[in-house]
Amino acid sequence: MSVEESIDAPPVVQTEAPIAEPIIVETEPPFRPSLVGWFARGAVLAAIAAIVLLVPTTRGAVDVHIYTQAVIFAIIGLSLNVLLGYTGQISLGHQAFVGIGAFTSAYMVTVHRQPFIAAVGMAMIVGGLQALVLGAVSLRITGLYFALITLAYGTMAEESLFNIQSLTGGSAGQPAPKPAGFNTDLRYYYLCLAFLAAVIWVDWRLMRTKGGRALSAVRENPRVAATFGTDVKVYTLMAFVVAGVFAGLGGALLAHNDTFVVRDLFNFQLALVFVIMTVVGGLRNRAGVVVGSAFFGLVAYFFEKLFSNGLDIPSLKLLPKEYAAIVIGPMLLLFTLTRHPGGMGQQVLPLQRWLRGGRFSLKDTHESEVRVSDVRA
Amino acid sequence: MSVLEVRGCSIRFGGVQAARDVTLKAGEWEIVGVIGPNGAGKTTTFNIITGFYRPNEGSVWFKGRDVTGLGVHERTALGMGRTFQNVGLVKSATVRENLFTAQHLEAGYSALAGMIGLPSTFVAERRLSERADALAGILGIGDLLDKRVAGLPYGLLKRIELGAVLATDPDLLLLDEPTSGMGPEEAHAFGSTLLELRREFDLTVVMIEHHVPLVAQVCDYVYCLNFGELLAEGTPDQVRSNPDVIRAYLGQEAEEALEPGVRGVPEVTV
Repeated sequence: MSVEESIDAPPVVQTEAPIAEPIIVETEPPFRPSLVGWFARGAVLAAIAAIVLLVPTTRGAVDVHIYTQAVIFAIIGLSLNVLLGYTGQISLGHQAFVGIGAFTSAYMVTVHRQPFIAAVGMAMIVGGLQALVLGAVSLRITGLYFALITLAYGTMAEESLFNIQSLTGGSAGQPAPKPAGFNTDLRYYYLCLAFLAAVIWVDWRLMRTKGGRALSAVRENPRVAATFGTDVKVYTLMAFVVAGVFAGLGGALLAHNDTFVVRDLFNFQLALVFVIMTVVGGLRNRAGVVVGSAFFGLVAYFFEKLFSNGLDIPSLKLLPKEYAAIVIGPMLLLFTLTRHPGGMGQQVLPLQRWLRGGRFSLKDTHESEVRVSDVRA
Repeated sequence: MSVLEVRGCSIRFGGVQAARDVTLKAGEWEIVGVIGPNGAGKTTTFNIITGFYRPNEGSVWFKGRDVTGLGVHERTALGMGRTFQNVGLVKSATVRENLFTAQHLEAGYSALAGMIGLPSTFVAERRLSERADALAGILGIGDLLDKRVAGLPYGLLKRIELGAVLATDPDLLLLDEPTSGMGPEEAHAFGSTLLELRREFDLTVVMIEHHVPLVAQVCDYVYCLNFGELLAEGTPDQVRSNPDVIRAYLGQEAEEALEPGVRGVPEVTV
């Protein structure tokens, strides 16, 4: 894939006159919001931006640390969305994707004394490369068997890669200091927001250009995709690489947020949370995945707060906070699969449509084309 | 020079000989019909031509080049366009998205450039959009552009699929039963459309077709397959009156039952 600037002009179609008898469908004229309507939309957007940008300034460092984690989870959710949503390939080993990014970045900064940006870049490259290997496997093995391979891959990484003393610092862990200039939690939060914005941009452009269209076609019908001129193998690999790069970035940011990475963090339970947050967020729905993933980034901490602030449910109090996501997750997952296949994305769709200048209506949110069977497993 | 040449292609699936020594040719600007009863190996032949199957023996030549070893997408890049019996479209996408997807090779930028969002890709996308609009206009599906493909009637899907294949800018159009599900009048109208399209887009056409009147209307040459083998070839009239063809379609007894001279040559409509 080389970046080509030149554009071959597609052949011009000569006549405009219809050859076949045109099919006329009567449609309503498109809805145009009034000036007040646009103003209201602007106000809502500003309010959302204010919450994201300003609320953390009023909170303590511990809270901001968690918000940052939510932002990073959104990046990881978008990474998994490329595989699960756009490509229809499952990954049950995403903790390895993220963990490799985290350790690469920590290793580069701590052992090799590289600047933060170089370390993150390396984490993205390594993340992409390791995903490419898994992608190559996916070309041969599909469906449930491939899901098992990813599961094994995650466990393999846990047991072998993450035990390499020099890379991960063994059970002691590897320090990953925050970069110069962003060493407070608040500043680092904004840095992560900037990275999330970049990931959202890439994800948006991906799906609006030929790469994303090719991925959708390959997911639904590889034969048709090939007939349209798509190299099915290349694009499947591309999806893995994109997901790996995003996950590597997410892992690196996660490492520096905690300022210390320990291998115990990247266990299968984390991979499950990643899958659940992406599905509950809503496959192929950017806003939904971001909201869903951020929610799962926050949930454990919320629960701790909820319980320590006096909500006394004796039997639940025994539940360690790390398990909150694992308990809430399946409940939400069941709800998603049975009632709302579009996930949280389906819930935010009316708002999204309205913000884009459409009419506000709760109707038509069930058109969601997401099906459970979408994932080839 | 012939645009397409299939030279002695055979393919076996396990014990089934799906195609045996199939040879056919399509010259520039020709419309070639492929007929034959169900299971005769017509679609198998198409799959060999487009690269979904690799023949055990024989070769496929396209524009004077041996393409037997090439993949499906590579043949599309060379100018093969193909429609499917059960409609080759991305069903969950809208008609417009399908016309965009089909312009994969016409986009003129790399997937990476698109992902990063280089300004030139925005310009290219606008051009693709104009081209999609123009094509939709020609095929009379302009009003459907924002509809989802899933849920549209079958006849329309066939037309949209044709639009998508034309969007890949083919020189050779392979149509797999383009008029299935159509009545005789619709099929006739399709024939006129096809002739127009050939003129407009400089196409060579190979089509699997069951409507014999349509075959007679548009085809320059016809191949008849039966049990994976070439049974007859010639002009539509020659093939239609070929006793082997009649037997293949109607069976031995039927042919005997028909008294020649009383009813003349039966119109084969399967």
